Amino acid sequence: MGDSPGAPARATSLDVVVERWASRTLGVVTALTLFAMMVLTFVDVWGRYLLRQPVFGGYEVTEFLMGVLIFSGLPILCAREGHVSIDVFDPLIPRRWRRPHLAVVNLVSAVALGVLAWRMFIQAAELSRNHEVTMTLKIPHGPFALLFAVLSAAACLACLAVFWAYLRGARQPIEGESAT
Amino acid sequence: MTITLIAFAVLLVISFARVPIAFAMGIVGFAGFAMLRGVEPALGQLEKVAFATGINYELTVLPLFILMGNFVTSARLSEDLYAAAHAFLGHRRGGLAMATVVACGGFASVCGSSMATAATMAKVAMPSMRKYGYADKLAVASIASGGTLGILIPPSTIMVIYGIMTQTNIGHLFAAGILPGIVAVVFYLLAVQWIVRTDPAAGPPAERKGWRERLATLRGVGWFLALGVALVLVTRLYRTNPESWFSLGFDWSRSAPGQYLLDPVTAGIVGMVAVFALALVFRGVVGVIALFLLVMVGIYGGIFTPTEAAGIGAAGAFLFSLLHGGMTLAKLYQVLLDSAVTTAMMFTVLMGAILFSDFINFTGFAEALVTFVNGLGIDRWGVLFAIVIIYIVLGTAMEELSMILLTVPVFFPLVMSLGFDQALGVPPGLVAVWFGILIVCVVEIGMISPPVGVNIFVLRSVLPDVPTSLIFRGVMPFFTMDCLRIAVLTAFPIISIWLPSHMR
Repeated sequence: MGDSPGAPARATSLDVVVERWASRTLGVVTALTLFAMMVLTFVDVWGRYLLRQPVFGGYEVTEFLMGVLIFSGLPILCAREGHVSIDVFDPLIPRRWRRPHLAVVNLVSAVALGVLAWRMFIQAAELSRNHEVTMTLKIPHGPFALLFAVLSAAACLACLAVFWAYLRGARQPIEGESAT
Repeated sequence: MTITLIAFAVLLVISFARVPIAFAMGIVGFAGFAMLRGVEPALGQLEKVAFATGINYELTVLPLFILMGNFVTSARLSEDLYAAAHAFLGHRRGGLAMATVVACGGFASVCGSSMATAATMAKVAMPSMRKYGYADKLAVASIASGGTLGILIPPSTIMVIYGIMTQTNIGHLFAAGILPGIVAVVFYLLAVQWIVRTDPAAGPPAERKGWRERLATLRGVGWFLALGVALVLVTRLYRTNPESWFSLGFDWSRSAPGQYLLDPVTAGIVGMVAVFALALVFRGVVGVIALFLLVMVGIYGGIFTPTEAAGIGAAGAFLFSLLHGGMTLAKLYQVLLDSAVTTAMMFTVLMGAILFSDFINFTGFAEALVTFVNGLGIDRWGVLFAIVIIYIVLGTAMEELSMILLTVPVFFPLVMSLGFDQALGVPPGLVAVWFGILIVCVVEIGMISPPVGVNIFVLRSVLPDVPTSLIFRGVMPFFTMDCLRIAVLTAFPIISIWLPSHMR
């Protein structure tokens, strides 16, 4: 138990550490990516109309920025438990079952993300082997697929950290009330 | 058919058990595919969907519009909108609630999310309505309902999702949302009037403001009128022949080819640049109008694609908040991060939904449903009516994004097979647009109806002292007006399809 008087050393539990880490590192990556995407689109359009010179290959760069944006946001989303889910029936669950229930939910999410990461790794290997590149700028697909695979794995770990935190009682369900 | 129904049942059970909808749909879709086709093809499908959805130019419209909405929110444009609406409407009975609805409509024209609209307006409108002694039920209900306009009045994230899923032109959908949005505002104003007629104490009038004060809130609008008139004149002169009254008797088109005053496309671009500049110069309501025009005229006139318009709109909102909204580096980082995480959230749901709907398509459920419904011999309007009812029922229990992702792959082919295009004499694309608008309106109802109205919960978190049951009671007149609006939009498709039918 985290807040029992005998163990003050374990003040921050694993899920909190993961959340902080993800928000600090990946958060910066994902925020910068989004900003870059906005600037690129802006410059591309005005360049096309005012200077008759769109950004060369801007389309392809935007596509990859999009991938980086989503997959680097994913671990943060998992650590914050920000996924869309239906919680209408939560009040029906007995109070003492709520924590184990949320632990299982996060474990299921972790498994799904784990399978995703595993297949992304395999796909990355295949794309690298075939030297797949984009049409205009010849951006290689392989390294990006690898990056997405690593980030999916990170998201899986984030879910596992949350699962562990619920299991150990370091994270407690938010006591919501019923709708009516 | 049986296997699909089982899949739907399993999906409902595990998502009601609070497994994130994205993973629930992904798992069921994957398992179903694996059962029908084998594990290897299912894994291949997973790889393909994850990579292709992640790297997709079309979809970049989503984070950029989310970003634009968040910039606009952080620039606190909602305060200016509310101040203007207050100045014009506040002195009437129920006037502040009406001002709230109008300001929500204005905010919705630069923000694509209903929850964001409701949350932002709550912070501005609620203190003011409390100050003037408005009943909580009227105050909160007008914010919650007005907030739902966020996804109807363009830009709209839900329309983007619908457009991508059904291959419907997003620009057409946006244009189609404008008139129904105005209808919705009018109906909500009627709902407010209805409440204050039955209970005059609920919305006492505030003091009347003079015209000088009223017009001060619209500073800069004159520039827009001047700009609009100038652009129309310039492009009309270019095309005018001597017979039309517009030519004032001169043959303007007589000048040699290439020596025109300004061709329409150039005029449009010049206009866009001017509007962009105006959006940065003036703060307040004019900034909102400028951002809206920038995005919508750009899309409607075919100057920008929706994705480009989203990028321009986001950049405009960013520069605006930098100049007028007190943007700091820390705030900027927060806005970017929030938008990115929201994007990741929507994309996980989208990927799950694609896996699920691929499986559903593979089972041929949609075709079976079409055959089944056609076999029943029900009139096409009857089928549409039934679908709308199903949506309203589903909307009470489900969150809007997942509801649309789940149901559209099934209902969209059905609606398109009913022959509305021939009955109405319009291209199928416009029928898709019309159905999209109906779906958005139905989703709006779901946002304010018990037990899971997301907007109600947004308001509860912003205003913890108002009990949920009171909010739901207060919302009832608005809910009734919503149903009436859907009836009107269903009966008169022209309201939705008139604007897009004139697009290039």
